[in-house]
Amino acid sequence: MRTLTSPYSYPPIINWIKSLQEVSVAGATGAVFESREQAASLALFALAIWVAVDGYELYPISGVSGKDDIFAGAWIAIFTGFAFFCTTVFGILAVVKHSRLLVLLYLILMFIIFIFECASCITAATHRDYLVGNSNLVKKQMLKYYADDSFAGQQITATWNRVMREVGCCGADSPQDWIDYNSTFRTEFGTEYPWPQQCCKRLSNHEVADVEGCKIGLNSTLFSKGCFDHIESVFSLYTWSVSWYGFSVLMFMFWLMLLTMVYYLKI
Amino acid sequence: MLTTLLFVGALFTLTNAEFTVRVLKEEDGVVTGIFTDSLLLSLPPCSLEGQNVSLAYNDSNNKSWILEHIFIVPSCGNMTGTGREGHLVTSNIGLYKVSDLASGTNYSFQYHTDLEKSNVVTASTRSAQDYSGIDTVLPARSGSMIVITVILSVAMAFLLVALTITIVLSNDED
Repeated sequence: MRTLTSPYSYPPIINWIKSLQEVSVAGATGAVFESREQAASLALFALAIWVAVDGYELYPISGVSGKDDIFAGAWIAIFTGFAFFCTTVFGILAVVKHSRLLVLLYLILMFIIFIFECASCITAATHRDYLVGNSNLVKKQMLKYYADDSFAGQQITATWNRVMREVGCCGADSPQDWIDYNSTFRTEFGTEYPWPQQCCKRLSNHEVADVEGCKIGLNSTLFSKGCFDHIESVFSLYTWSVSWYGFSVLMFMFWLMLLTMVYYLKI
Repeated sequence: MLTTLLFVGALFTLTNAEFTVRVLKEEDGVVTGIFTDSLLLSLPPCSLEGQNVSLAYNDSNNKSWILEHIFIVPSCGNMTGTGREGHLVTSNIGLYKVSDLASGTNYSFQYHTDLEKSNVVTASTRSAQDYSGIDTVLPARSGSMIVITVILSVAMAFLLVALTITIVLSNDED
């Protein structure tokens, strides 16, 4: 009866399957963990793309303020997510081949990517706190740049107009922000309109429902809640995706690397 | 004699009858009753329907203004509708907007009709603050920022040490 140890030569595929029989249990376990890491890193890659695409279109608020590391962190996470994936494929190969040099190279590469991902997580979390820790920065930016003619002013004006219209809100904390403080809007348009017309409720044909009532401030004719809650929730959502999911991937990777170092010392 | 006294007394009471006026607040269904250059006053009660109303107001420097015959008190039915007549608004709250006021100034207001007048209500217009005075430094070091920085820094340092020890030990074996 012919067995796998027969002296006859076999096709390369059979020789490869034979070599797999020599893979140790530790190596197989490592390969299983590596595949989990691959799935997690691909998910990080996908989430970071979602944040970078900015479906809520609120980037100008962070861009103009200079605190845009939530998005810079997302771009870094796109790189690190994909790099993790590729490196873990390399790691499986290194473990299967029982090569000390390849496993060492894998460890060094993973450590470098670990450092990049740490930077992404920490700066995204910090800039989120700068931007939306309280409503002051968003409010000051709105008062300074809304209705301003500069490039930053046009971006901020377009962003705020869209948010006020789509979310149904006015001002940062409330419409009173527009009358508690002076603003570029007040300087440009005077005091006839206490707040922009985007604060007013509209009919289905987009005409303002009641212009005079909106100017007086009747609650039934304008949006009386502030926009900061919506802005804060969007930036927090982006930050949890990049920063905290990245953190969880890093924690998994930490243990994986310690396991790989133990394996390296044993082969 | 007694009848004359009673009649004079009644006339005196009528001419000094007071109704209430106040500045509107958020609870009345407006964003605010106090702007930087205007104020929203409530209307005289609809029991005075049809009477011509004038407004007298003065500021803290005793400079005074009188707006004669600014509106006619709407009927009670009209209060539930919506109308505009100059600065008079008859919606379910009913208000009159006094404009062209100076910001940050204290004013006293009183309505006058043919026979009655209101109480004197005092209010101050808002003064708008400069937006550059809003403080935008980092509000506080939040817990999440500190936790993520500390944990990741410690993990990074630990991995560096572990990697160094691994390489040293493997070299010793060689």
